[in-house]
Amino acid sequence: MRGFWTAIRIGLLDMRGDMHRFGLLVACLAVGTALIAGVSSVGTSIRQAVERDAAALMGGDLELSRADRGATDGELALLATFGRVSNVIDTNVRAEAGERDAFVDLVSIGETYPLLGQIDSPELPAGETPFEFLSEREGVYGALVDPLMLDQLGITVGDTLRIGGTPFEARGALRGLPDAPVRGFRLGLPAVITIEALAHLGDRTSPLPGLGTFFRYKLLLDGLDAEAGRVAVETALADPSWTARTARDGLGPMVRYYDLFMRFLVIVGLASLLIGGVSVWTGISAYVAERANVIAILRSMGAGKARIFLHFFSQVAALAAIGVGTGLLAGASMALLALPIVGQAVGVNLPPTLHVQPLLVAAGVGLLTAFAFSYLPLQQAQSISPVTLFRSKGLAAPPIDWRALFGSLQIAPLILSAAGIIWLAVIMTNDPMLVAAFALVSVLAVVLFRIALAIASYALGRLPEPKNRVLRYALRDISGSGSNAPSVVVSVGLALAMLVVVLVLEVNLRNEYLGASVFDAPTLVASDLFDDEVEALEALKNDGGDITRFTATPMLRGALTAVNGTPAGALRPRGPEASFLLSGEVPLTFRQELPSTSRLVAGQWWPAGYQGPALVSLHQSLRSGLGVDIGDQLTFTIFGEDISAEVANFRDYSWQGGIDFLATFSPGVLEAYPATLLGAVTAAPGREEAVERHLAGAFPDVRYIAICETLEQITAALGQLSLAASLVGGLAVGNGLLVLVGSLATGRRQRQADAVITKVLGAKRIEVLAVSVVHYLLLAASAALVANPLGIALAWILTMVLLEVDFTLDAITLAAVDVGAIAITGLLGATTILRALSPRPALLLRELGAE
Amino acid sequence: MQGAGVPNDQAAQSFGLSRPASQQIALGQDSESGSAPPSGTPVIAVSGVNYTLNIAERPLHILRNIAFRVEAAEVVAIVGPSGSGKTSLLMLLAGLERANSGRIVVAGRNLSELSEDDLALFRRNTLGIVFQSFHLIPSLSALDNVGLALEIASPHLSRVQTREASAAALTAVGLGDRLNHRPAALSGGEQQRVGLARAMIAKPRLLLADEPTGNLDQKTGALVIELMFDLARQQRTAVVLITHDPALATRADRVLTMTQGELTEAEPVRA
Repeated sequence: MRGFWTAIRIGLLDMRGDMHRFGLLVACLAVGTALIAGVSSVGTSIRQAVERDAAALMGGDLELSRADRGATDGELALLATFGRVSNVIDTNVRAEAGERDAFVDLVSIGETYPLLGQIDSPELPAGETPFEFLSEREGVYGALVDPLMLDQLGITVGDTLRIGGTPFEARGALRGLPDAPVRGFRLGLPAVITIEALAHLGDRTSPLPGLGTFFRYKLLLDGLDAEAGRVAVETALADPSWTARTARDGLGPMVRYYDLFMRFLVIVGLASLLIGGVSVWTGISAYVAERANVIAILRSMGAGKARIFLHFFSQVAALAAIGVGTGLLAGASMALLALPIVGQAVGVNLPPTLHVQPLLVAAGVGLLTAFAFSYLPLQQAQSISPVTLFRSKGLAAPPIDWRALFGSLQIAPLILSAAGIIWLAVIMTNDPMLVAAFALVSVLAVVLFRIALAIASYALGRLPEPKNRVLRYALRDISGSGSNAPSVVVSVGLALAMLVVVLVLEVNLRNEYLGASVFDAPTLVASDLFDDEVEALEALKNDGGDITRFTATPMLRGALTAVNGTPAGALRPRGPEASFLLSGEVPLTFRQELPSTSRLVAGQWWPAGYQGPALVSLHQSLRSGLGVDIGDQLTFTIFGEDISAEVANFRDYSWQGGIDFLATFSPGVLEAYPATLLGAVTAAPGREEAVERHLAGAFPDVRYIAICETLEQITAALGQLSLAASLVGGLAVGNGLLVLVGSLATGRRQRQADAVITKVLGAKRIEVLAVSVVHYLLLAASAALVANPLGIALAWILTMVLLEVDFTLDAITLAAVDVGAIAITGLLGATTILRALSPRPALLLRELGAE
Repeated sequence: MQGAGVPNDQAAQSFGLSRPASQQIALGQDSESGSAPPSGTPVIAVSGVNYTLNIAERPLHILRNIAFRVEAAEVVAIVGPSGSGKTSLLMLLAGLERANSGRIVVAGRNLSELSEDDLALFRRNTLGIVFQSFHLIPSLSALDNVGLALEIASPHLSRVQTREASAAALTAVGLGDRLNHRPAALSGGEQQRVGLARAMIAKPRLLLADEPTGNLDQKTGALVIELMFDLARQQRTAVVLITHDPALATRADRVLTMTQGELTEAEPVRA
């Protein structure tokens, strides 16, 4: 045992003069560990918060909703057999007070709302239910109104406002709804009234085409968990028009975006892990090669292989402990800082808390990675013979004897540590398939790089020597024995491939966020415009004032009455959009061109100038919601006439739900019918309020709905995630570049020796330097040749399978990273021989001689 | 008064031996070393050794039918032109290379029968090696460089014991005031003395020296050789010395000449 500790002491002593060279290795390990620790900690917090507060967030264990009608008495009775029920109806209407108006996100509540939690309003008396508080008093119903809306309407609590044309008393300020997290982002400012009062509204028509009424029923289950309850209730209702959500489903669309972000982070974590591993591999390989002399000395004194292993293992362990420890500190700090921000974005309270398990997993992964990737260099160290002390300078470690390695128990630690990493990665990601795919692709990548390298070496050996001396020497360096080419190409290639994966995913994720957040959302929307008003607004825009864009879309109402000849009444819609489309007359439009804020998901948009048979474009949710596909026939009744149209395509317009149409007709079908126009006005940045005031004065009869603010909230939240994705991606890129730099250490000493001897033989400094630059440029370019297609292929798989978002390639960014990585490799590679180029290389010669 | 860098004879004599028998550190007598050969058995017994390398698929005969013996405490110099096979023979004796045929017995162990691990044990318990280029570990102090060899050979020793023995060894070679210096802070002669102390610290039965004065000036080289021979005689260590220096060779008990892979014995130079 004493010998064991002494070996460790000597190992650590031996390392002390070389600590500076391990900075990159430690940094790479720290970054990888920090990412994993941070991501896992935040993920655990969210998972625990959702599990802990699921029912409170939802306002019940389950929520059932539909858009076409409320529950029948029979359905209500059925729901009541599962537990306590409360109902809410969400709709959008207009509110007015005097000359001012507001766009309202109206929440109509039943007697038992809320089943869990409380509405936050200072005026709501303790012990009184919101339903009682808002009930009719002296012929007027009460409303809890968002403070912003009170300001907007210029009223205070106690004043009267008109909601949907009906007078209401503002009985209190609405500071928060208990189930706000599952409501997600909604257009308009919230106000609460009772369901009774909703029935008395004079005008329940939504001012915007895509906003319907949603009938929601919260269910607090008796003795069933949420998932089992969902299955039981869906089975009992036997009607696919009902949508059932648990709290996890119900946390709104933001959760999907957050999930995407988390998955992205997991991929970045795994990539960083691999990159960190490559760094360990190159760093330790280079170190072992340069320490061959020390190893030989130890062997000459009779040190056994175990002693050599222990000597260097103690060094790797110390480095890993420093890197992983730093990473854990950084990751835990990142998590503590990020949790409140992420919680705000998702709508869940996430206090800054540290979880032990994710930190342990990160530490385990970091340490095992350090061990696994240093194991082969440590094996090489053991096979260094003292013969080098008599015969050579000992600048390189012998190649790994794979056959002997796989044929003995020596491979067992490597297999065990790899299995350990995979096990921890599965714990971290909760996705064995992802981990397996990642591991497989990583191994495949190494094999591919090796094969590519073998082919390149074969080809280089048979090519005629170039006339250019610099190129000739650089190629000779690459193909010669003892070349660092395999090590540099594999490590640079792997790092670059991972960079490509991270970058492509980051761009796709950002596109998803930015596409969803409609940066080009209009400032104001106005419905029911007449032609002269549209012309006047067009003129205003053309004046070059504060209005930067104006679009007018025709809007008319019609009802879907049959699908492929089946009457609408016989259809069983799935999802809110399908239910809304079948709920009666809904807004429809016709367009020549695909709006810039929509994107085609399937089928083709009609060609320019199309005047053929009626075609219709549907929101993609209707494909499964109505069970229709391209080529199916839909029959609408518009102004009493039946019009059949063939489904031409499906499109998505995600967050623009409020201002787009579920069904859009091709030109030449609906023009003959009377239509009003939906106008969308975009103000110059910072001039929104001025435009609003100006339009209110210029067109007093037109009522505008300011939607930009709401969309900006969405944009801000998604922007935060997008920024976070960019930051994390940037961190991973930085980590990858560190590895590039680290990989150059491989063979540094040998190249220095070559360079100094070449110089002593009379070569000019510039020639020696040029050969080195070209050498590394060629290696990096070769690595990039394989790394790019490999990275893009892996990114494509991950994008389509794991993130399930659109795949696009940002060729410019990719090219920039490639060029940057190649240039960095070339330039920094050249710096590895700078010492040898100093005016007096005597010291280096002496050092080399002493080794 | 002993000047810095000058070996102390008294100290040299007490190198590892100054303690009472009861406190003697079992230097070089690790239990793993196997049984010591009976008295009178040669330290080295080489017979019929051939060593051939395949270079570019063609055999290159390095050593041919080598046979010689070296007794305990005997100093044997091997001379010969560069490329004659001297260093190859040294590597065979150290168990770093394996002969194609013949028999090499060192300290009673037939090297061809030893596994890699056994050879490591053999080296730690039987051999000391002094290199032309010193080959000290640059990150370790002189004390640790020497202590390392003892610690490998005798892992049961405490750290204090190892340090004491190492300090004594360094003092014996005149480096008592250089214990904590790293190799870069030592002159060539001093580095070679550290190398010598390291080679002898575990009281090896055989010391292999490959051109030990090749990187030193004549005066320093003479000093190092003097020390080496003194220590070897005190510890009854056999020495095989490779040298190009005829004057140095004449100080050996016997001189063997290597010519094109063949070893011949010159006339004894000492009685």
